[in-house]
Amino acid sequence: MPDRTKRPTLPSRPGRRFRDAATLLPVTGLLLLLTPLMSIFTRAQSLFGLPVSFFYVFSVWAGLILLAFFLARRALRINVSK
Amino acid sequence: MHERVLLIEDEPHIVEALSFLLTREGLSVSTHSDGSNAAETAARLTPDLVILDVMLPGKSGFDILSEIRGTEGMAETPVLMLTAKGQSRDRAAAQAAGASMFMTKPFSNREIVANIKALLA
Amino acid sequence: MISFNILVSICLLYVLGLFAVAYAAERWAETGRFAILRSPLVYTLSISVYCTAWTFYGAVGSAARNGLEFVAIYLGPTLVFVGWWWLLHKLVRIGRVQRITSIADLLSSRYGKSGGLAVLVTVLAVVGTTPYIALQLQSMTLSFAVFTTATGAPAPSPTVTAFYVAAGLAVFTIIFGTRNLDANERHHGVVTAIAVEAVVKLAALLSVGIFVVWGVASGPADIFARMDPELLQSSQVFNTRWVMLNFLSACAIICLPRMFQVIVVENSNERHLATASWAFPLYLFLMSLFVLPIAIAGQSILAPDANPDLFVLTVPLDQGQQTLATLAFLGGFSSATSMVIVASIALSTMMSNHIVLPLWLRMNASRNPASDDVRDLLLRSRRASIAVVVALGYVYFQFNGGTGALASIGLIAFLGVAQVLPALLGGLFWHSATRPAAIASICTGFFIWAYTLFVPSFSGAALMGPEALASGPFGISWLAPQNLLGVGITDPLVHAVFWSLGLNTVVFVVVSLLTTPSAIERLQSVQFINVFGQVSPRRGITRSTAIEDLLVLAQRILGREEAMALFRAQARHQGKDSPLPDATNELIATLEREIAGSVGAAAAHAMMAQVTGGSEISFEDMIAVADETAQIMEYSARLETQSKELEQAAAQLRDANAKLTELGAQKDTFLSQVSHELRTPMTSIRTFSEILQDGDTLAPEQLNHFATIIHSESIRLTRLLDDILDLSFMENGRVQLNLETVPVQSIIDRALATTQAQANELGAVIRRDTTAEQITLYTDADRLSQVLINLVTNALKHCGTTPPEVSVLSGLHDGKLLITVADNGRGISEDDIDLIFEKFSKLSKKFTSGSAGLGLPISREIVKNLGGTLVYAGSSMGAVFRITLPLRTTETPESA
Repeated sequence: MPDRTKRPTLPSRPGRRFRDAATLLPVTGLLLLLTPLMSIFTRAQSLFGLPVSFFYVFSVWAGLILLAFFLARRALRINVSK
Repeated sequence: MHERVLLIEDEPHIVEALSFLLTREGLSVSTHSDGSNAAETAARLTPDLVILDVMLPGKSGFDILSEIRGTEGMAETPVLMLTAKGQSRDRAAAQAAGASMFMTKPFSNREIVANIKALLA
Repeated sequence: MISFNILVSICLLYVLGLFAVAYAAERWAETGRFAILRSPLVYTLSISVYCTAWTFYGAVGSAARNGLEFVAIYLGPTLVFVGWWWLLHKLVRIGRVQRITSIADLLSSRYGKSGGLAVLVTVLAVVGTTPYIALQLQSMTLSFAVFTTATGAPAPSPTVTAFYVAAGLAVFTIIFGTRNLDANERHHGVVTAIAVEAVVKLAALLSVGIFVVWGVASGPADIFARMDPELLQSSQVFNTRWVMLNFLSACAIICLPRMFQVIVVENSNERHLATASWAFPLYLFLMSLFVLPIAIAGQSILAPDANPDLFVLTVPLDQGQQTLATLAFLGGFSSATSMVIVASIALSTMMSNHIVLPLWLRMNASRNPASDDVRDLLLRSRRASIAVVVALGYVYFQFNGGTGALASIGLIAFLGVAQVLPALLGGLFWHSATRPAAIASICTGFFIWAYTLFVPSFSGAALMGPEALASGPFGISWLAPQNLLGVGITDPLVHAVFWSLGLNTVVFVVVSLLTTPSAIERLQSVQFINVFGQVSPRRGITRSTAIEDLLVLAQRILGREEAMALFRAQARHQGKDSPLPDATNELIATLEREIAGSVGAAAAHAMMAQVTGGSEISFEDMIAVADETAQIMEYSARLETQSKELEQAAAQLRDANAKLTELGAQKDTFLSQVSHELRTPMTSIRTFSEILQDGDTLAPEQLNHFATIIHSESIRLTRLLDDILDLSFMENGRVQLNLETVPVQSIIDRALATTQAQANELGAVIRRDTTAEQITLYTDADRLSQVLINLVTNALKHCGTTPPEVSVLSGLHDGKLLITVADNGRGISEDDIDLIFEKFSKLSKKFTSGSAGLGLPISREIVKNLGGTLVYAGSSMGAVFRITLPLRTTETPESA
């Protein structure tokens, strides 16, 4: 069962920074993948022998996963199960 | 020489009875029946013993006793107090005021005479 | 080549393996070994139920046709999970706190535990999911077919295959999906099996991908070199459809019943969500990494007419990789089975909770729900629902199988369930969202979705002909399903998304603003929107509901042990010694939530309402609170009155006590005075008696004198005792009056005769006016003359002048007899006037001895008993006592 006794860590500095980052991450993904910004980055045809669009999409995707990984670790450390 | 006794009492029959008793015992008895100027009478007569009633018209026996004790030369004069009320409260008040002895009415003749003789001895 | 029978055997073995895993997981759960079951990894893998056969096979097909477009199906969920902090966190928390069992339950619970809304969402979910299940069946039969056509081995028809697959799935789901009732306890077996299937899917796809890139081609660069350059035009990636697909898949990950089931309902720990936030996107990333290479390989090595939806199977088969192909087949099989299992569990929960149970409750409305075994009913209805859901999918597959309609059903289903999104998001973030708005918006969206996308997808079906599709029904062009109002969106999907979700949202907002949320909706909106805040517990008002009824209901639904444990915990929480808590509103709310974990919010609410006899909790609350307030006010008013009365009583007691104390003091004083007055004559008597006793020396005259004194003092003593008794009697009003008619003159005569001797002795002058004394009177003559004797005697004694002059005058005044006794003395000093009528008063001026001071008090009491008054009216010119008497004394004298 989840630990209900733990209380939210309220506006401590790491908590606030985490929340800002957690809020910004999907927005970043949205901007990079769901706006015409995408077309700017995928103008070239090929990179390292891979199609740029493929490379771009999967790179951004991997980047998001990586950032999410660090955020999640932080979330678990500062116990933001508010 | 006859010892002089001052009897301060308002009941005429009691005055008469005590005067008769004490005279018979060879004492010289003066009487006074009013409370208001009893202390002056005592100061004037300087008796060897005072018999003082508690309830007197005009002034309480305790007040008179205080005045007598304040009179020069009478601080040690034996004072026998008489009361008809017979309450312990009066006895304590009498002692506090400086009474030598305290007796309750009615009294036995033999007893009061013996007490007076003892006080005079 | 693998024969069909071997393939079936492999499938059976695989399913048996799943059985074993699920069974082991259940055992572990029972024995408390939760460590593995509750790991965030299992949670993350179970979410992969998102990847169905449609994505397993279809993603490659999509990539072969539309390039990177397939990525959108995975990117949407990635963004949702990466942004878990925004929405999923809240959803999971609400699901836990409110014991949410399904997405229909969530909406129904949020919008005032509405049964209608739950039914609507359930219907929507069933309509959206049934074709999806059919799609899974189809992909499985297709994959079977691929093997059979490749080997030429005899195989049963797809219909038979699909039937067996469907039946097997139904049995598996029923066995492991309906073991527990409380969604809170979760389906450990199923979830673990799903996690295993997720691993199989991923391993299969990765294996095929690696084989393609490094086995078929010689590396990533090589495989992309074989790519048709038309496939990946940068300009094609980003467009409206790309955004729409991302959006739809993001919606789907939240709104799909099976996704809600695994993400929210099966979540055992909110912290797992943090892990899933990166692990699930990673899973999706790995699942899609090799999709494009496989598509390219398929296009480059297989015949142009090969079905790209089956490249995952056909590429390894073409390369002679039997084992790899079998693994790929198992991957597809896993994807399909896991989807069907979870979807049918989710739908069966919704159907049994929101349709079967409410119907049953309605039919048995008169009966107490606690008196029947709801638990049993729920389990049976849930099992039946699973069978029905799978059967529906099978029937749908029978009618539409093999047509292109099914291939596109994935996205169509996404948009269908996405219709609940405005109501869902509004419910989580907007206090003004109302139930009518939710119902209206879902109905609107549902209808437009059906009209613009779902129905037209049955190409050439009887529902809508191609002409109607193109030019609108009955030729009304602006009603053309894929070109409403001639808006000119070419992509039918984008068109449908725009119209359905657009109007849906507009309707939701407008209706919300036009309607007012009910009390229970407000309550729930606060519980939902402020789920992270400290929701203040509701006031504990003891209801009249018998706690036993609640216990019976709880036992029927939660099970005997769980119910007892819950009640014991609640009793402890209330600080009670007994195992049964009080039926407070807090308890009822808790119990309702727990029961909602089994039967959903609406049904739980209805059941509790039947037991508690309440209609709307909030209304009852208000009444209860109002009642309680009124009671408290009344009580405090009563207390105030009582305390006032007590104060009054205390004051009266104090007064009485003071009076008693005063009376006691008076009595003490009186006794003390009596003692004094008695002792004085006794002293004389005793002293003279003793003198007489030893008196042989006494002269005869002396003897006589002393005897006279004794005699007079004895008389004084007697008189004193008489006076005391007299006074006592008269004060108590118990004196006996001898009333007679008598002239005043005779009374005065009698009094003056008594005092004559004293007057003569003093040489006093007594004045009277006998002419004025001719008044007859009805009174007690003896008593009245006694008063006059007292007054005359006092005057003679105390006037102090010689000779004393005393006048006794009488007359009528205002119909009353007036007698004044006056002397010519100095009168009574002002200080003593108040004292003269007091008993034993010793005035400053000495009275004569022999007076006990009782004369005046007795006189005043006599006159009072005769109905008159005696007052002192003197001055410095002499003392004057005035008697006023009625001419006729009544038997019962007035008391002053």
